[in-house]
Amino acid sequence: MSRSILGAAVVSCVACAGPLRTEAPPSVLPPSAAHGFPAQKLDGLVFASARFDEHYDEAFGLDLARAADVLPIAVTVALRGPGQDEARAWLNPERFAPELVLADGTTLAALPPRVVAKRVAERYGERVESKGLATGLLSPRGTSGWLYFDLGSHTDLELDGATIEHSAGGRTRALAIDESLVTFAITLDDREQDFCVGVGR
Amino acid sequence: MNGAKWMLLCAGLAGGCSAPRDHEEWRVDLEHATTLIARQELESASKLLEGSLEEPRDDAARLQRFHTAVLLVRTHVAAAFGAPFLPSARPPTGAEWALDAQPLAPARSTVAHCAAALHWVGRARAWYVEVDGFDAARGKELLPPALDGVAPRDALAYVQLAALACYGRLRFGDRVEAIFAGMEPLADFERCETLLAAVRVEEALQPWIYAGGFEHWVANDEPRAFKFAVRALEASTRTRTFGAREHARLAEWITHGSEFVFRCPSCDTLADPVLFSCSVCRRPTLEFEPEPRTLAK
Repeated sequence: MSRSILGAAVVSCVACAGPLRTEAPPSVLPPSAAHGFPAQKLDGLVFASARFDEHYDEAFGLDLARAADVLPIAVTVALRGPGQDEARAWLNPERFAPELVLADGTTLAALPPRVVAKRVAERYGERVESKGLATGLLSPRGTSGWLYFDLGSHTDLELDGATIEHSAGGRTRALAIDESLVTFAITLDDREQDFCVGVGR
Repeated sequence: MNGAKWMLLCAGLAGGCSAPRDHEEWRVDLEHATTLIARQELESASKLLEGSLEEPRDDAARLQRFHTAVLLVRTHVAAAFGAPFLPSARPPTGAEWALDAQPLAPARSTVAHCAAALHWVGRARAWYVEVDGFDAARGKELLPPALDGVAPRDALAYVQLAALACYGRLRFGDRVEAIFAGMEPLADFERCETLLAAVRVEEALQPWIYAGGFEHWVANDEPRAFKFAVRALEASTRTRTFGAREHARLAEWITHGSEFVFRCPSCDTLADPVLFSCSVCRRPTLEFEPEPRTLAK
């Protein structure tokens, strides 16, 4: 028996008299084992799907997270089912207000494409704006485009591949983007309807 | 004393000294959190519980970690269906998109709480496998009085029901159906009621859970679906946490949509979706009996 082992035991006993815990929490908790939410949904007449593509930079020619502090998510909204051709649906720009809800309940607002376009070099601006999800009346074929969720308004969030690291209370939690929800409001036959759908990959 | 004995003694000193302290500290956190939840101080409860989570080093700590996740589910569910505290990024007027509109204070997001509750549901499910079969007698030292009689499998049942309500609120019907189909006691209306009471499911969740039962049965067993529909509507009048669309669907189904009409067996009065007992004889609507609509007068 070495003195050092005995010493360690005594130190351990002294330490336990204080408020410190014997094991520090891991600095980054792993993503949850849950499977997120369905990445497409039909709710009444409204169909929507959402997808995060880790290689989104190929679509824009630049890394929007770096250049504009936004997280781009590809979204499709359409009407499906009996009555789809008669229904009047639109994404009212004043009520649409999409947001991304991360798995821990943190919410990110979407920025209008024209605002994101101003954050990038001029030669990319037009592409960013034209690829943004168009608001207005929904045609029978629906609409597809990108929503740009604002990472810049959260100093405690950092994008790392397909996860967002959220630092709070001295810990950093890794949140898988495909465990998030995209929510928005759609106006259908003059009635506003909240909609949410999971984010696929 | 030989070396091996010394090592055992040292290990015993270290373990005996630190382990109870750790467990007691976590137990106190859990007790404080249950008090905060009861007082509806949900944001404080959430912070306390998340702060108390750590990598467990033994089975006792695994049990405490599991119950921490269950309490986080309770916290976010109470917020989602009652007093939300997480902010929504959506300006009430959509002002981010209408750049000229006046910015308003952000609203609170019930959807965010549903997402957070389901996040902790995932953790609780994953951690359950480590605590299933834990010696219940040891729970007294590790858990506050409010939790020490709660078997992990009962806590898991609560978690599943909370998930069912959250998925219902978010209108992920397939997920609701998957949970309903996977929990055998939910199939029977009376057993479902017993289970909800046994695992202390908050009243605010109950309309969504019974509505899940309605959707589960409506295609194949309308008389059974009727009981779930009545109970969902009845619970919704007390809690005001049910969706307007879901309420309208159930009420319309009772009035027009079902292949049956439901009558009071005592006085033949038809079921009314806004009354939960017979308007003539006060017999509970749950006891009304089906009659094929085609034969109804």
